[in-house]
Order: sequence, then structure tokens, then C-alpha cells
Amino acid sequence: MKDRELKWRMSQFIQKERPAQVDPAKLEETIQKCIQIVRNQNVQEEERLCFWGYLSAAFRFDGIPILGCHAVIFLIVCFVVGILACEPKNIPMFMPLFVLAPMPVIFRGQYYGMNEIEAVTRTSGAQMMLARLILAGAANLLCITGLLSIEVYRQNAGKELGQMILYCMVPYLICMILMLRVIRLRKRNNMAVSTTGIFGACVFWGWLAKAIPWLYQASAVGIWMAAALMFAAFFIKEIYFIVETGKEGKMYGTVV
Amino acid sequence: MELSFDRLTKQYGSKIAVDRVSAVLKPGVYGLLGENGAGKTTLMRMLCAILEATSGEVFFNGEEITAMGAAYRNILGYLPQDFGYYPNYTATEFLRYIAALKGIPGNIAKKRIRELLEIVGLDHVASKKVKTFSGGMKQRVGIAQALLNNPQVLILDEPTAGLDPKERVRLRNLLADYAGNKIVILSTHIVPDIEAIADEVLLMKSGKLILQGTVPQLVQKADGKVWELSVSEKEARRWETETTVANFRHEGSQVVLRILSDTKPAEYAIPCEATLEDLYLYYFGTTEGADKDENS
Repeated sequence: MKDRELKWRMSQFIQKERPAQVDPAKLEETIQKCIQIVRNQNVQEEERLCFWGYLSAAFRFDGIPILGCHAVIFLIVCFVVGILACEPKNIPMFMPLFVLAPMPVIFRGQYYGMNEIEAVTRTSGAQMMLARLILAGAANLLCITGLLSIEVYRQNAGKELGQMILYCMVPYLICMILMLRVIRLRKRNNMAVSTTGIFGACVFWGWLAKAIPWLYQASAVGIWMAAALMFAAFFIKEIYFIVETGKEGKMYGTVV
Repeated sequence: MELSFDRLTKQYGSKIAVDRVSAVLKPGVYGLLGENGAGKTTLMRMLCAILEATSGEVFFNGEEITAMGAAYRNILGYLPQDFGYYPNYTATEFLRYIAALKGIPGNIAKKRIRELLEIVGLDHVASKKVKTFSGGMKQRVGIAQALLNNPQVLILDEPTAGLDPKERVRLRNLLADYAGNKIVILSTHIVPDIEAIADEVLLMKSGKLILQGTVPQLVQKADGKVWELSVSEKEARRWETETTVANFRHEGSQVVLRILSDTKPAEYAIPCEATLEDLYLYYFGTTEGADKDENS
């Protein structure tokens, strides 16, 4: 309540109750005292971080482990690529591993039984997921850029860069969508299902490269582009769902 | 300030875990008492908005808590019954992590963590990893994290589990100091903990809220139902199988039984003053107690 309004209300009340006995000076003194009391009683809301402030804090607790996991996966993939002298058509086989990389952090709360405590904090489950996806996305961008650079250098095939980007995007998006759907829709064993799905995807893409070699020729780029656009739309839909869930304050994923 | 819930129900298939529970809670300490499986944890989870109710609503100051979203979680502190921890975090790091989730800026969090670790008696192990802590120490870290955001509504599920008597007294004193103008709800089946600090007790049984009132009001319900009698050891075993025996002690060759019964169990039985524990055992002591509810 504003001081002016409080003053007016008090004046009206006191004068209505005892119109003939009001000493204006005393009335003013009483009103000032009341204003002071109301000011002291007003609960000062404690300062809280916005989402971006949380993201900055989350880097310390989530970002560093995510980067660490990505570094490990990146080194493994580079090692395998180096040994096998991989052709670009084998790139999709490794992309699901970059979705696997942030999973220890994403499922950490569930694994260690911290879900309940985390769920009742100001930062909603959806916001936590969004922060982790942003951090994982940044790490993935670095790793995939590194991998493509290595592949381009090895294959001396800069002209196939566009194709290789698609070979990275499509399996990555599919696996990301799979993981986010499993988190959202499954109540139990979502960590196991996601992990199994990702390793299954690795096997699938490895098989596809051998079984359908024409899919990895320049003439099939259109198929990859269509797939990339389609799965990008699904991925954006999942992200939108997370953002909306966060705004509405609803639970995201399995808490109990 | 008021936390109210109206006909709150949680059903899992054919099993009703919480059955049309209603209450209005104002600032004070509320003890939620009930045996295992009474529905205490389910009720608390619904009050924390982490479990969706099958029907019914929870209101904080007249506003529905799921609609409040982050605003409600901002004023909420919660310690779950079986809470986990990240083992490689130190106590300070763990609390800093929770502070980040609670949106507390770093400079404020640092100061508050220091204060809370001192309050819960863990300041000397602040930089040790949580995985090295004893059960009681982990529980104290849990309590500290619940208090980080200075919550107006504090919900603690079995907070004294795993604490030794000294730690339980410390916690009770902490909660009694903290309660003031806040709503504190703690669930337990350790009756003395409730008796010591609760302003009001809510007794739950089979998902229903069967009694609510101050400790004296509830104890009054057990008046006239508590008896003491001295019997031989052989007879004592018979009494144990046929009645609810709250306590027995040996006095020479005799056994003094404290029995809960609606009617005088024997000619030589002496009526005794009831306690909250007697009331608890009266409702939960035997399978016959399954029939007892607020109408008993």
C-alpha cells in the first residue's frame, strides 16, 4: 500500500470514529508511526537469480562435467577415426555418442536420488534440462567442429563438408529427440532405455553405411536434407515443450 | 499465511494412498504422525507439488500451488525421507549447488551456507566430502539445504531418522526456534519428537486424516483407555497376544504391563494417565486397531 493511500485511509477512519476529538497534530504523528510500521513489516523479497544467472551458476556444477564427458568421447572418437581411417559415411555411427556424453549429468539426479530435492527448488526441472542442453549443445558444437575438421583434413575432402554436416546432424537430432522423449514420457528406467537406444543407434548407423552405400553419395544429399529438416522440427518441438513446461511451472520428467 | 488443502486424494490404480484429506495450516509446527504406509510421504509430496494429486487442491494464501509454480517453490523448503546426495561434493559445494538451484546469488549463498553449517553443527567438516559423512551428518546437510532459502513453508519427512538422541534434541530446538511465523510440517513415527515441539498433531491412518489437534486434545482421546496391571511372566505372554501392550517392565517376579483397552481389562487393573504414545498405539497397536478411526 502506498504511504499516501495509507494516510488517507487512516484519516478517514479516525475522523469517522471520533470526529470531534481529533487533534490534527496527534493524528499526523499517529499516521507517520503507522506508515513506519507498515514499511518495516513489508516483506522484502530476497533477490533471486533469473534463468541466465542460474545458467552461469550451472556452468560450474554441470558445465564442467559435461565438457569433461565430451572431451572423453571426442578423444575416443578421434582415436577410432584415426585408426580406422574412417570414410565420411561412418561419421553417423559416432554421432549418437555425443548425445550419450551429457547423459551422466542429465540423469545424475535420478541416479543419486536427488530428484526430489531438485524438483522443489525455484529452478524447475524443465529449466535445469534447458540449461544442461545449452551447455551440452555448446560442447557438442566444439566437438563436432573438431571432428569435421579432422575428417576434412584426413579425407582432403572439403567439398564434402556439406554432406558431412548432414551426416552429423541427422543421427544427432534423432538421438536427442529419442532421449528427450524418453525423459518426458517414460516414468521408469528412462536412463537405461536412453542408453540402450543410443548404442542401438550407433549399431544401426554402422549397419546402414554398409547396407545402403548409395545413401552416402552426393546424389542422396536431398534425402539427408529432408531428414535433417524433419528431425530439426521435432527437436525444436521438444525444446519448445521444455520451455513451455518451465514457464507453466509444471514438473518435467520423472521426479517420484 | 495459510497453507490449506481440500479433499486431497492420491490413488494408484485401486489403492488409495491419500483419501480426501483436508486441513488448514497456519504458522506453527505440525506433526504428521502415522505408521509406515499411512500416506504421510505421499501427502507431503503433494504439498510440495512434486506429486500430482488425483483430486483435490492445495492452496497457499488462497492461491493454488501448481498455478504459483516457481513462486511457491521459492518459499518452500523440503527434506525428503530418502534423499540422495552427490557423493563427491563437499558439504559446502553441495549447499552451493542447491543454493544455485534455489536462485540464491553467490554472495548471499556463501554467507548463508556458513551460518547454516554452524547451526547444524557441520562447520568443522564443511570442506569434507558428503560421502564420508555418517548418516546423522548427511541428515543434517539435508536439513541445512532445506533451510537455505529461508522458507516460509518447511516440510520435513522423517527428519530425525538416523539421528542419535543428542542430534534429535538439537534438531527439535532448531525447528522450535525456526518455526516462529513459519509453517513447519514434520512427519515421523517417533512420538516423543512430535510431543516435544508440535503445536498440532495430524494423525494419519490408511490414507485418512483421523485426528487433528493439539497434543493435550489428542491425549484426552486416550484417557480412560490406559491401564496398568501386574501379572506373572506366563500370564504376561497371554496378555501380549490378546491386548495392546504399550510397555512392560519387570518388578521382581512380576511383570507390570501397560495395556490399552476401551474397558477395564481386569479387576485389579489400575487406570493411568495417557500419553501421546498411548494414543498412537491405541490406533496403530494391533490389527484390531484397524477398525479404530476418529469415531472411536
